[in-house]
Amino acid sequence: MLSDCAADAPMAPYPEWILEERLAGTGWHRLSEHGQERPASVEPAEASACGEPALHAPPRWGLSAEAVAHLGDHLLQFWLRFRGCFTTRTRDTSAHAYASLRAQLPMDTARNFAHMDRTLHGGDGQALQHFMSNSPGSGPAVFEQMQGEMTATPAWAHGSTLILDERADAQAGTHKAGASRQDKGRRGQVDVCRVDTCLP
Amino acid sequence: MVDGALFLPEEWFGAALAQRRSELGIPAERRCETKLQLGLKMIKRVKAQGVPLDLVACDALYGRDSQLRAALAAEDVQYAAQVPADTWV
Repeated sequence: MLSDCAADAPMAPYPEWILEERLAGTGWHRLSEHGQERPASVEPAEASACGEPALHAPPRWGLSAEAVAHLGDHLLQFWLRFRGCFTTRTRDTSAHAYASLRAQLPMDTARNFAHMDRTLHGGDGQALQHFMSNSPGSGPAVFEQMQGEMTATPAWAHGSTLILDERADAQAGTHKAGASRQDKGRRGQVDVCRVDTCLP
Repeated sequence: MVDGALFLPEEWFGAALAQRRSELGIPAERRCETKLQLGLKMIKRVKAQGVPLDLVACDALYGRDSQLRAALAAEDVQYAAQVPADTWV
């Protein structure tokens, strides 16, 4: 969810999660999980019961094994470029941003914060939940960098279409900014939610 | 996503929610804007940044508004917009 909060807004205290040294620099070149490297190319590719390739099998998505062999590395590079958008003057929470992306890659089901954190670090997911709920960092900075990268990429110079649309995020109450009983944008449903207008 | 903005319903700009706006870090200068106004501002912003933009596509929420369509044309932005079946174009 987008945030209007200032980049240096004070964060509520939560269990400290120290940025791992190997993540703090730029010299980490391979994904690893509890010391065990797991390249995408060796993901199990067995067929499911209905005959379809398994969720992580590249053929299921029309991709070759080579096409996804460096997916994890690309994800890491993506995070390294954008991690500065998730820091404040007093705290670096950018590792949570990486964890939220990284954890979803190998998970078939139960992509909730507790399961994601347990899979990656053996945690209970509270810190990750806090990070996602409070969005420490700057949304405008992410967009500014994204726009700069698009402008600088020759391959995207022609043929680009932007879709002006909304995205609704269901809410349990109206305590968050923008939360209100309003149109969810799908089939005329009205419910308590926050709505972003966006250009995906 | 290359740009986005949180839509704040009109009720959020009432005096009753002034303190909560402040507590949540909503900028004091933020004013009530429709989704169409937010969308047009974003399109102008990304265009000004030089983001490659051959076409903007949108659904009937936006396409039905003749002022938005005119504003996109004035910005020299090509668009493909859904409109209700009974719209005069």
